[in-house]
Amino acid sequence: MEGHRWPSRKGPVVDEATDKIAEGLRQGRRDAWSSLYDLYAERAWREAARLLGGDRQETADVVQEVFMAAAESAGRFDATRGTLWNWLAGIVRNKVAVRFRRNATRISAARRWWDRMNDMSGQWLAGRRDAPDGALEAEEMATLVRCTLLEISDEHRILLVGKYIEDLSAAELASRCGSTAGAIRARLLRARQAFRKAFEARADEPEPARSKP
Amino acid sequence: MNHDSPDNEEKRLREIIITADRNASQPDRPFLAGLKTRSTRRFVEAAASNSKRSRIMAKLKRIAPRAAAASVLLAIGVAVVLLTTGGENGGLLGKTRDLIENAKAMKMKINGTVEKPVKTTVHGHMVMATGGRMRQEMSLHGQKMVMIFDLGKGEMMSLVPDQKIAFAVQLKHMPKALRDSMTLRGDQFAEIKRVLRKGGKELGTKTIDGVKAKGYRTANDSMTMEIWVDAETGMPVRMQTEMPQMGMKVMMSDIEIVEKVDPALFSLKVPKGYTVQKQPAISMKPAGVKELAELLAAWAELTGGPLPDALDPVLFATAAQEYAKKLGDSDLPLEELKKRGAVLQRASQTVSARLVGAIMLRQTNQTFHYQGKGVKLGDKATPVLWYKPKGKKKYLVMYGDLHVERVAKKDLPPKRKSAPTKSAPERAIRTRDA
Repeated sequence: MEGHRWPSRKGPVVDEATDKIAEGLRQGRRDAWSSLYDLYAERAWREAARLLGGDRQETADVVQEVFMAAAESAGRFDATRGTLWNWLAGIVRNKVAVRFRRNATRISAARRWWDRMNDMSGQWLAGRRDAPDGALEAEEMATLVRCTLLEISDEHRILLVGKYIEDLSAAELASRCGSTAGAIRARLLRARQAFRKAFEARADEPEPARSKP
Repeated sequence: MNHDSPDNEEKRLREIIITADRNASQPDRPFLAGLKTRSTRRFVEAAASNSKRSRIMAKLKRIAPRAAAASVLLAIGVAVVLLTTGGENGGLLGKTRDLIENAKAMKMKINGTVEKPVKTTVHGHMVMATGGRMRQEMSLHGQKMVMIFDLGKGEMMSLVPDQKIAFAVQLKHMPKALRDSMTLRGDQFAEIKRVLRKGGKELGTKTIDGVKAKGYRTANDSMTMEIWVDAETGMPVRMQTEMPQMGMKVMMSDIEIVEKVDPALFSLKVPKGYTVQKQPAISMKPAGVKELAELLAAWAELTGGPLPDALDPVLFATAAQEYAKKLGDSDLPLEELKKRGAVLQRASQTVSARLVGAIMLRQTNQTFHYQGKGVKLGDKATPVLWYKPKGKKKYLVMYGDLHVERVAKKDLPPKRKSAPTKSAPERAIRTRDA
């Protein structure tokens, strides 16, 4: 559905309520769609907004595209391939990625900004110095992070956003993902490694090859 | 790269990641309320369309098992192959023959493999009993099928337990030799016994499933059969047939001779709760050029052009199931889906009905040769099959456009090495992931 990669399902279904919604969607029940929407509409907005940046109108456009596409394909939702949120977050990612591809200028500018910091940026990432002045506040940094979040897997993005932006504990993430706190900690470690690798690759990528995400 | 502690690295990554959230807009609730109404309307429309789609898909799913039922023909093919095994040697397997001759029924495991072009396996159990009765419980592509034959009555029934569907088929024009072997002598095992009487080439001794076994092999142009028997008791341990022309092997193991067998196992009465689908009768008569042309045209219609790699039921079952699955995953509009479903249904019925005749022809006429692999339907220059009808002097040669020419043996086209081709349906189907 919607061309996104389904994260493999490694635990039980999140809870009975989402299970019922999934079943209702397959049966084409209006109340199931309504429940899905109430449960995830604001979360989808926040996900789109943080991946896109500050443009409110663009976020609204993406959220509209996401729910219209989801409405088309919800009847074919397959719970064995992931949770409802993973499915919806995958659609958000795809729709945002399409917009990002159209905005190569913004990504090039962010890349040049990173280059201008010379060795400082690399040393900072390697833990050999503090963040360069103003680096964390720069819009270019946010752009590079968004690019990276779009590049890593849905599963890793959902974990990193849940942990560091939504400030959820490992136990809360476990409950949300249908897993255990121990497993979540291990997956978070892999998610951080994946993020760092993708971020470095994105930031250091030579100019001509920068056509993604 | 990691020169600092894991805690510091995590802290730094946290600082970096949260920059994405800066300036992110908060949910616009009035907008979201409006979107709920619009998306609900879209969902309801899509659900109505999906419901029609589901009905078509359910129909397609019924067609696929029907195609899988063609694997039944594999068993018939084996029986026919056994019939045609030639040679008359001394009786080296007296004990085995005695055991089988006194048996009322036999149970065994079956594993069939078709190697080319895609490895496909069929596995399950089989019970054979006197009077031409046979029950197979097979699994093909994860789909369980139960097949009950009563060759004495010329009837066959396939059951698909997952879908509670029963397919009832009449077997017409059964060759006299086959009918006689199954009914007149009341002896299901006549052919096995005949192979045993012929003996065959000794293969030496080896241990199979912990049993010291002696092996014998018989062969004709199209197949070899090996029988391994317990060196002490004469009890069959393993039987294996191989048909290189079809790239097919069928192995029967865990063989047991049983004194009593429940007749209900061979009942052709449809089980409770099953929906019966009557199928066109299957003719066991060797095919003629008309039937062969119908077979090739229907198969090519399904696959979108190329003729089959081999005239093999498992190959067809695989192609039909793959095609049904691709249709199910596709994003085709309803009307197109219906159209292609109808093609699948029509092709499936024709191929199933004609394939037996083609197999019977191949097994009863040693002059039959097929080389249609990679040839497109409509190719008037490439010969795809030929054979010499019994009692006739000239050969019939069929070309890719299905026209037929009569030629003398000296004018037969050269046998060619087949061009590589795909076994799966080539018809382009856009998937939902596009």
